Amino acid sequence: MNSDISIVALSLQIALVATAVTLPLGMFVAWLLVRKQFRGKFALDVFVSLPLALPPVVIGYALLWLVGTNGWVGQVSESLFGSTLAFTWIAAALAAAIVSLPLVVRSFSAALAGVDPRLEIAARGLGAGPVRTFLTITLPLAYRGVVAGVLLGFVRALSEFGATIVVAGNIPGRTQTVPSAIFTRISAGDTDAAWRLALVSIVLGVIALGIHNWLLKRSSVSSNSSNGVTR
Amino acid sequence: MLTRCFVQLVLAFVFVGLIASCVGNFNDDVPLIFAAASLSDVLTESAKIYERETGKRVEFSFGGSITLANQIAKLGAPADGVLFAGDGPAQLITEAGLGDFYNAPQLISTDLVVIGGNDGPFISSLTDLANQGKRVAIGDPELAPAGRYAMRALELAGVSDAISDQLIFTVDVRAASAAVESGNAQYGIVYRTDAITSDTLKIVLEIDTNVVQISYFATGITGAKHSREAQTFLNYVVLEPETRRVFESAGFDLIPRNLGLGSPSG
Repeated sequence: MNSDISIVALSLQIALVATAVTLPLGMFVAWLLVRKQFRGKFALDVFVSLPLALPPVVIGYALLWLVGTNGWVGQVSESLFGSTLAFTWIAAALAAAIVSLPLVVRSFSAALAGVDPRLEIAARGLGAGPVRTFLTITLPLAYRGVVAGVLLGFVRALSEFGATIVVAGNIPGRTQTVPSAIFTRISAGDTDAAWRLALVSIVLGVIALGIHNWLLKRSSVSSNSSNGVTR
Repeated sequence: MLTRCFVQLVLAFVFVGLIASCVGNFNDDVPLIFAAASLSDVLTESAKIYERETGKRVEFSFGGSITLANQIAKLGAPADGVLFAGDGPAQLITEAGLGDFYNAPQLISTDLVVIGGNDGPFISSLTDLANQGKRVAIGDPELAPAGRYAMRALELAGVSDAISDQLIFTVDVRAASAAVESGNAQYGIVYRTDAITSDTLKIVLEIDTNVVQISYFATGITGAKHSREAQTFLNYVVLEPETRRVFESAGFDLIPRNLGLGSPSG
């Protein structure tokens, strides 16, 4: 029971750090994709969406290759800290971030696309810079969609298994997340413990998706009433 | 207003993440031992005794020995010590220059058995097992030494081809006995010590120890932060009467080691 709590705590920690990475990164990418025209836009779109189409183990393997003893990130961190990131919770957070990024970018893109660009043009015309325009016009209008995207990314990060087990292993107390603990318990025939953690996953997922759907519903209602148009 | 909410949300996420990671589970001040799945019960028990007697803690990552050895030797996993089944994983570590398996004063060993459900029939031989046409769980030979030994036993009995359609590979040996326990496989080929852990399983056939006898090999990992502490724990486990009793009551043999003799062998 006690170890269950620490497993859930470590999972939450990993998912939170992953979300802290995907939130600004996903926002920037979504903004580029929705508002900007540039060479390589198609390639960027494919690249950030790729984790949706790949088996997570492939993501894990690519990441392992990057942060492991032979990868350049691994060698840099080895010379700085004396150890690589492979098989640490940070690697698990990175894996979760990469796998959840496409969902976050997609949600953010939808939220940003729902904001009338003429409002931004008007703000710019009144003398606001691009950052101020984004923070005071775009973001407030897209707020609910953005929070919904954050939640979606968070639950995806929380449920990550394939990439995590490859790049971070399954070390109890260090890198063992809820999904990998469930896997261990199923393998070991410890069905009660497996069901208990599965139940925790279901509850967390239902709560997050509930809030997500509620926010999206609210956001379409409020944008309809304030803009007077349906999207 | 909403902007402020958003900024607060970002900050909250970052903040909670940072707090969690500071408070959290980054306890690499404790030696980490990578060990064969078949030892999970006895080592966990031994670690409790060790902590009670010495006040020092150790942590474990259990799995198929070959999986774990590869993680350490090829992928740089942060193990301080290892306790592996069979000579294959030990060799991976030795070849990577990460350990010296000749220092262990004792060998732990076990042997292979065929298990079945409590209410099932006994079988007379591995040929009989192949003829029954039932599903047989073994550790994946690529990941778990127990699976490799099981395959060897089947080959020596001349039934490896006949039985191949019936075999189910699992990630480690414990998962093989779990598959029999849950009824998803009718038989399993596992270590004797795995068979003893469950009341719902029974040994339906003993495999001749002249055919397969499995030893475990231990070492601290060269260059690891807590290599020495890991080695101390591993020595404690095989030498202290109390931890020895844990191993012996789980069915393991503890054999005094003649340090003058040869290389690790299965």
